[in-house]
Amino acid sequence: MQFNPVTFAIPVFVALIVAELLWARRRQPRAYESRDTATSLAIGLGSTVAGGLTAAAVLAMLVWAHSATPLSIGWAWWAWPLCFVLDDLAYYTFHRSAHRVRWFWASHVNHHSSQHYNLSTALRQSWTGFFAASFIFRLPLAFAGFEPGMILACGGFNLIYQFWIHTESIKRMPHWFEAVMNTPSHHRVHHAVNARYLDRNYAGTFIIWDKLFGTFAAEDDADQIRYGIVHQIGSFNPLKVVFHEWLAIARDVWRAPWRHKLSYLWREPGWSHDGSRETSDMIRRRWNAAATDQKD
Amino acid sequence: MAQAMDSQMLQFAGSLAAIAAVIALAHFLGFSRGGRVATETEARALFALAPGGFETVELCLDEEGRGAIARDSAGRLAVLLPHGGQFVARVLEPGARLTADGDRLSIEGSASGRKPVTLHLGNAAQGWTNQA
Repeated sequence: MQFNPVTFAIPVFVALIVAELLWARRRQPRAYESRDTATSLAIGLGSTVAGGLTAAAVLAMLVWAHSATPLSIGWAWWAWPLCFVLDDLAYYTFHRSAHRVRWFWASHVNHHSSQHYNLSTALRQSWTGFFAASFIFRLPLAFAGFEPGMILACGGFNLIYQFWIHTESIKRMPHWFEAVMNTPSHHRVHHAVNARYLDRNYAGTFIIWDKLFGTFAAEDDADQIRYGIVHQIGSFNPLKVVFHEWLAIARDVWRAPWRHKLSYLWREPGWSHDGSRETSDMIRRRWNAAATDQKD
Repeated sequence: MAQAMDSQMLQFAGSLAAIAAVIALAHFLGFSRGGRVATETEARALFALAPGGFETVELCLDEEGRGAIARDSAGRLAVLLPHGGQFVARVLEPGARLTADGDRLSIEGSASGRKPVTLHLGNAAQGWTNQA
């Protein structure tokens, strides 16, 4: 049985959620809503089941990729930090694709479906990541010679790191930390539906990837963040939250003319063959145009 | 193998119990209250988030802050629907029916699959029925 650090972190997650609830009661009563929290936790529990059912298959694929390459790094101590950093780069690639390719978005959207932003939101993890083939983003690490067990452990630590940044209770970390690491401030931007923040800050642990690849946006305290997704679901039903985008894709593919069917799988969320919907780029352009008009 | 299954079942049961405890605590601490739209400024900001954009030119808040209705310059109508502690902005479909009963405005067909919505608009309720 492989080592999964997330299993050991779950009691800490629960304790921190309780602590944040107590903080929110005094300082920010709108940070939590009990039905929203129930949905988040139910989806979190379902994701551990889905992850458990597919873990062996993911491990088998990493083992296959590792055995198919002449490269073998082994368990040297220095391989751990290197693997963690490269796994974080792989996560950035996955996460950017999860927002820019509708097939991957269908699996990731449930994580963004809450209109609240608190530690329970962090647990709205995917049930359909394996079906969407999200594991392919980690295969290059195995081909590069990293041990499959090391890759999965680093992925687990990365997931644990991302838990604490889902909070409004921390305004800013020290400047040097904000410059390098993903923080609550950076990740609030990522969960925002404000036009200026759409498709920004894809980082997992290190925010440097967004700064390097031009997808970084700093949080502006003057602009109140609204959380969720562009088409808010308006439901607390975990099954609807988890599967609604897959059903929407199926509907779109069924109804679209033949030459456009595949585009509903690989184009960005919001794309439509008749231009009747808006992508995040179109929303940003509309918002920029309105802001320019106001200045004039 | 059987031992591993037992361990996983135990972990699942423990997680389920922890979830139930957290939800109960959230309810006990008062996090089951619905949201309220307090001001027109807030309502306008929420309407602006409707898919496709929505620039409010006229709006009316529910008297208890449990929603709002608005019109844009093109004559489209949109509503703010309560969703837990938050609101969801929906532009009304062309076939939506708006009827008034005293100070209440009922909206049917606000979005596909949605239940009818009722807003308490006071004397303004009658005025919004004519704009469907």
